[in-house]
Amino acid sequence: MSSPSRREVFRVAALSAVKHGYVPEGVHAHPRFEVVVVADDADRPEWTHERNQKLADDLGVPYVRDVEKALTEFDVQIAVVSSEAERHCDLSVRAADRGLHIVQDKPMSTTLSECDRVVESVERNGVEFLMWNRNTMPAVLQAHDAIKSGAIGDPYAVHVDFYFAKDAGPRKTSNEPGNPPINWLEALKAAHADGGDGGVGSKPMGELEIEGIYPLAHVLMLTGAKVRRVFARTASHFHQRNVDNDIDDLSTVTLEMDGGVLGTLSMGRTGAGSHPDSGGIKIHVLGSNGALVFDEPSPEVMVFHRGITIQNSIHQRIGGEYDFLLMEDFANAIDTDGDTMLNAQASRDIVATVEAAIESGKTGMPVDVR
Amino acid sequence: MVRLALLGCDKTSDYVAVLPRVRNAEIVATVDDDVDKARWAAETLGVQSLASIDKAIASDHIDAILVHVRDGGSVGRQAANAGKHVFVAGIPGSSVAQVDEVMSACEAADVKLMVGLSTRYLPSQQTVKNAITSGDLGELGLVRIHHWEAGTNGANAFGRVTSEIDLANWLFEALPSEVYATSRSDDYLQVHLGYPNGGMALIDYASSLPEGGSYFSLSVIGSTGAATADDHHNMNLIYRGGKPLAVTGGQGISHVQAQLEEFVNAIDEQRSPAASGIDGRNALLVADAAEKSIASGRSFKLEGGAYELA
Repeated sequence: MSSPSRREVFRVAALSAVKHGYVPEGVHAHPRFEVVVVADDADRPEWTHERNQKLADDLGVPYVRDVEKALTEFDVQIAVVSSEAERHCDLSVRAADRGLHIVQDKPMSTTLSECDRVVESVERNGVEFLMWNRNTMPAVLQAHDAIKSGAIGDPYAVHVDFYFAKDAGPRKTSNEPGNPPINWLEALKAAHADGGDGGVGSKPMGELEIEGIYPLAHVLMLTGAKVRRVFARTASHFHQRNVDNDIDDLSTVTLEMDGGVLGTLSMGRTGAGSHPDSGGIKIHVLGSNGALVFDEPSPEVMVFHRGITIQNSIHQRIGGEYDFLLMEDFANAIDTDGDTMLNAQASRDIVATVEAAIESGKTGMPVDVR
Repeated sequence: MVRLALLGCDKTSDYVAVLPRVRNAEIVATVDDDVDKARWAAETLGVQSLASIDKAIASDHIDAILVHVRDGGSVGRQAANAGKHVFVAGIPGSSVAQVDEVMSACEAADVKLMVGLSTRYLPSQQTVKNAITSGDLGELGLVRIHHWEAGTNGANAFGRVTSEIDLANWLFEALPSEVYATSRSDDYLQVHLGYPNGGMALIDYASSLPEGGSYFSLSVIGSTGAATADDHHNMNLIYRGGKPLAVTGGQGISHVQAQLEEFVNAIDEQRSPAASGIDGRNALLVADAAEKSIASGRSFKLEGGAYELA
């Protein structure tokens, strides 16, 4: 691997692209990053090869069914990982161990031990790691700037609502008694059509596990505080696939953080029709001298016309530079040997918070974050 | 026609303004320890001003007392013992035992007790409640409440948050099965509630805002829909140089009228009012569990009508 000079374009390998392609596409869209190869292991199931091939075709690059060969032969400096969740960390470690910088899709992993492997590998190899996140949304940046400027004093409590008003297969109780439970992997493969396959993989994951990285990354960015203890309620409230697989689609979490900072998180995949747009995402922060209330999707434009449905998204986000800003942050970290806005350790800690919340939801007790 | 006396004539309250609007009721007297306030209210309403609470309670011309004083429980108990129906603005007592005493007095005298949980009657909350009871939102899964205000003259945060707890109980039509709470000094607390069938509620209350405005937000999520009633959405903007000023659209005082009419109708129809002593008692019970949760760092579960360590 060669080290690119500043402003040089980084060559990128997309390691598996079996779910929504917005992560590798977001990387590729930045002028300093160019995906030059898509790669995956040869022994993957055929449906994964089909999706990898599609991304390669869309980008006009080769698809190589051998990860190590691709990393060796294409002179890449960056790996973007968007595989099944349980493979994220292994692919990242394999790339980091070859000295590549990593951009990884969420969730970081299905197990904390895999996250620890990434933290160790990234540290040992001195490479950058960026977990894909939403902290560059305009309203989040604005809230961050307001806090940083001292507009509300020292933040002492933060609350994030994070709802996706999307269906996830049949509604709860739609399954007749005696019918087999909904197969997680098959359901998520089918959800690829509408981009609802963020949790694709063999292990069923609730919304907290799949999407929790986003609001928890907001909390981290706005407070700078690490979560130490949680209390949570979790429920399978909307979707039959979540009931059948004993995973949440609605949750509330109390957060107890360093420095006495408190917070809460409420999140879920609340089903179509529960919001005039794709879901309510809101940030509340209390500080020693004031407070702020922000809508994460703002700024938006509302568009109405005959025949419109909620699925058409009446509210349309505008001014979005979030992918660009994420990759700008990543490039800057590489250029300066600095740190990314959501590095491996912080991402691992978020997985630990989620893991503790899931345990709390099952036991009804507060749980310390590992 | 139910004949009412108003006990406590604070000029900042809405009772004096709303009483002439209340159907099937006649305001006949006002009472306040502060003679000027009592006289002001009496003149505004065109009624007599009585010199003491005892006179109001003893009067044969008064059927029901509207108690709007700090120690509402004690006065309410006196009124009940004298055979008067009782409306108390707020929960009549700061402990479950005190509320029980008022309830017992009312039950023994066979008079109605209504607790002025006025948050329930706000047009916004009524609209949300109607959306739930109509079935449009499906099974209720989550309630989220933020309530922030400026300093509350030393009032206990647990006492302040009881109306939000009552709101959650009322929306779920149940007592929470789990309670967990956290706090920061005495101006902020978070209450996390679990309800039967997987229901959940988050309440945060702060009295740390600078003087100048308050904030309230209620959002609910059901299995087939959601509803939000929050100040953020209802902010209007005023430009006067510098950064714009945001002002909240007001909801009027019809909620005060609605709850007084419910009280009067309950007396007339000889039924329990919609917000009874038991509702106030339940809110205090949960607030008490929240306080114990903060002290212990543990969660509490409902066992046989009481909250025990989980």
